[in-house]
Amino acid sequence: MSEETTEGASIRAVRLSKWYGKVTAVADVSLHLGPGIWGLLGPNGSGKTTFMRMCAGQIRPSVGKLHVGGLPPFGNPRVMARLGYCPEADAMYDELTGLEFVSAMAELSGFPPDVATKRAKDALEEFGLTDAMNRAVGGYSRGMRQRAKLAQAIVHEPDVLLLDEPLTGTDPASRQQILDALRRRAKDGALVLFSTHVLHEIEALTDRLLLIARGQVVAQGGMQEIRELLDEHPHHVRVQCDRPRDLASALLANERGVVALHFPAEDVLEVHTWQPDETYDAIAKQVVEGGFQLRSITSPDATLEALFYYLVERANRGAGTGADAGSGGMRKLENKAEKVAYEQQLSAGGGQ
Amino acid sequence: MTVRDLGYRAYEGERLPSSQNTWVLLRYGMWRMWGSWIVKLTILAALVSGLIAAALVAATWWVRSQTVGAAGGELPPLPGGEISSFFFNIQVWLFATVLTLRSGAGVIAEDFTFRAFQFYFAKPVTIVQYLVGRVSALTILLFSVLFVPSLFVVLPLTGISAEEHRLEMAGLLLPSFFYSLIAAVALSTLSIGVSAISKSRALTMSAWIVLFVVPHVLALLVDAITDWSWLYLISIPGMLTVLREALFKITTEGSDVEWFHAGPVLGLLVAGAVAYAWNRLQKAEVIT
Amino acid sequence: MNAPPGLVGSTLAVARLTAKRVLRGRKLRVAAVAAFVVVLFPAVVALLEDDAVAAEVVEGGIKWGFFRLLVFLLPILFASGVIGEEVEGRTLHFLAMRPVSRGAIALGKLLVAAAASLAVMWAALLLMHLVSFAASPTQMIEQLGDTARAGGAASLLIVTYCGICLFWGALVPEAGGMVSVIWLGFVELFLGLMPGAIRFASMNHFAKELAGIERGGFFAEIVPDVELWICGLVVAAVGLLFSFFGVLWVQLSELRFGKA
Repeated sequence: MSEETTEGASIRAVRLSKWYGKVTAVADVSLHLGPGIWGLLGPNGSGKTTFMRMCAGQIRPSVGKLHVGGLPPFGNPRVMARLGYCPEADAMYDELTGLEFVSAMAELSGFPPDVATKRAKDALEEFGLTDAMNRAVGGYSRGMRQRAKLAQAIVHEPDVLLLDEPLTGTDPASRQQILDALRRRAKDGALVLFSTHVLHEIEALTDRLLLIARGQVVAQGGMQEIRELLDEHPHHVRVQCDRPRDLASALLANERGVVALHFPAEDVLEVHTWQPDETYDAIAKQVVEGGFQLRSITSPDATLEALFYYLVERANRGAGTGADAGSGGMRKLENKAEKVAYEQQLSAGGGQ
Repeated sequence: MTVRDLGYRAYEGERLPSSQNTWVLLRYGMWRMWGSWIVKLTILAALVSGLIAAALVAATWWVRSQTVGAAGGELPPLPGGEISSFFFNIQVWLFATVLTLRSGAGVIAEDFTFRAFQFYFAKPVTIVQYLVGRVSALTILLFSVLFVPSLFVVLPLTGISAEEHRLEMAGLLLPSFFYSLIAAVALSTLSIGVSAISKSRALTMSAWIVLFVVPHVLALLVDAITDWSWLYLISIPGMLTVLREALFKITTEGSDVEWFHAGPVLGLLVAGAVAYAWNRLQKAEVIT
Repeated sequence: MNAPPGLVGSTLAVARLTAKRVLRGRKLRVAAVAAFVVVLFPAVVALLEDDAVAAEVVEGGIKWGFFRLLVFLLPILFASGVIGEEVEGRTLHFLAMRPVSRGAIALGKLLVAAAASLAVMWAALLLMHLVSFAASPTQMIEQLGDTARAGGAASLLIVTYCGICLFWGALVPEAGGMVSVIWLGFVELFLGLMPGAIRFASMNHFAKELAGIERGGFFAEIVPDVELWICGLVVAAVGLLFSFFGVLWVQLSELRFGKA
């Protein structure tokens, strides 16, 4: 594709890296994001914000190519015209009122002053700030400031929205308001890239994820697709009962899928297994036969959190990193040897 | 399960008294200043200016010895007091202002902005210790920048003077030392006091420039037009000049302001700055 | 989606936003107080003394209060922090992600800084002129030409200094004010008092020549004379050069967004 040809709402990165001196913030990321809501997940310092800032045209890539809507974004007004960005920092022009602030941002997007004011009012209304729009931003609460930042991001109706931790400091009602606004835009064909390290925020909004750790994309795809990765690493089953050590002995004697056992508390047994279905059956059988007083059986793997930490831990070990990890598909544990190596590492670090 | 079951053991070694906090703050304050390239550059420039001044002194002496010596006359001593005083004036305007701007006039505002007080006052650090640590770190830096380069002027002056004038020239070290000390204490305290007036570093730094320069220009202007010199008592560099000229025994014709006027006024200003900063810090909330 | 605004439109939009902030900020008040104090004392002295003194007071006030103080102070206050404060305050994102060139952002801010500096300077100058000659309306009219000439030269100098401050503020956003103070203090003030052609490094010298102010400093008599139109041209060219490179730097630089 030519550098000057625009396309629909999209972000395309090819072997994208960014470093500051010796520190690598983003490393060799290749991906293609289309319209819809994308969750950008990663722990603090993983490179989310740097990636966002490169997409927003605030900083240049050190190497690699990055196109937003088919154009390189750095200092490119044509990209900025279709891009809305909500930065993470809680910083605004405190001297201005909410209306003045958002109107100014609309004017800078090319709207005449009267149109800009009208659009600013609509944007502020969408985020529930109509009553406060004539007050100085410096007097806003954290949540109100966050909503004002979001209002300036959408005031010019961009088709690519980059939101860096947009729900920080918001109450549940505002959160719902924000999520609804984002869903509406995604439905109209916009690309919304939404970064957070709070997993349930993503779960409430989208099923399309981009997991980033140590500057590398460790997984990308649909929620279901990513959940399938759970089958590729040992499952955890947590049993709360009266005699967890006896239950553990019984399971070890009869169940071949069990690879590790932990006792995180006096009355809790955590089982690591490659064969979760068989293990659940075995636990049920032992509970009945051994007369255990069972309080609960749960699996920490049922949440995205577990997957996230699993993938991050894998990235930290150096596995599955690089272009292969971020090329759009899934990087799975390739073979039994890798599974065994992972299992041994778990056992060694598990503190049984 | 208690923390002790997890292997926690209380520290049983020596604990330093809280009076050590001032030293800690001073040490880290100096370390932070030294981390700035502007501070390093200013120190270097101050030292270079001392070397240039020394070269100028030597060149002046050489020219005079060539002209007066050739005429067969006796070589009069160089006006060491005036030369040192002029040199100090330049040091204050060129380097002390930069250092006070960089490391004085913004420090408390910066701590307000970045909510750094919780790091200090959530520990057993008192406001007085905080202030003394801050002021003394800047005072040491300023003293070094004023006094050390002045040695480059006084020592060559002593070296090139005739035998009978050497003691007199070497005696310039004493006023140089005291002036450097007075200027360092006054400028560091006043600039740090100004840094407490707002949470905006840009504003406190601007205010320091205004306070340092505006009254002085005003005093110069009024003095030039009306010969009324009392306005120097509202000028920080003006008061320092009066004290310096008294220390170096320089008489300025037409000036009514004496060291016993400027000294107390400057002392009051310094005390006021400390009191103001103390008051502001006392009102500051630790967790914001 | 709207078409991106042109250079003029975006510069004016940035200027409007910046002007609102300047008008509500405290720097304008600090500048006004400084200018008022500078004007007040000489004007009062002129009022109290006889008519002959008034012209002398205005001349001295312009030389000391304006060319040795306000022309430095106002650009440092209004122009040196325009980029650095946005970087430090983490608000530059809001401007840099709009469909305006970064050059327009710098240009809009430079315009406001220059306009604010000029407004304060002219208000102070006219106030001093009016109060100083309040007792002598004839002299007020006669001396108006000299005051206007000095004001014009000071205006040119202030715009140039705003360009210099913008340049250093863009190049070193974390210490724009500091570096501007050092540059203006050393090159413009200190070298402007030096003997011979060294003085030509200082635009302050050329502007004072333009204003018709008597030379001061060291060995002023050995400073070569320069045609007035060349003086004006040099000051304007230097201002344009610094402004151009300042704007260019903002256009091309990441402006420490990585750290912001």
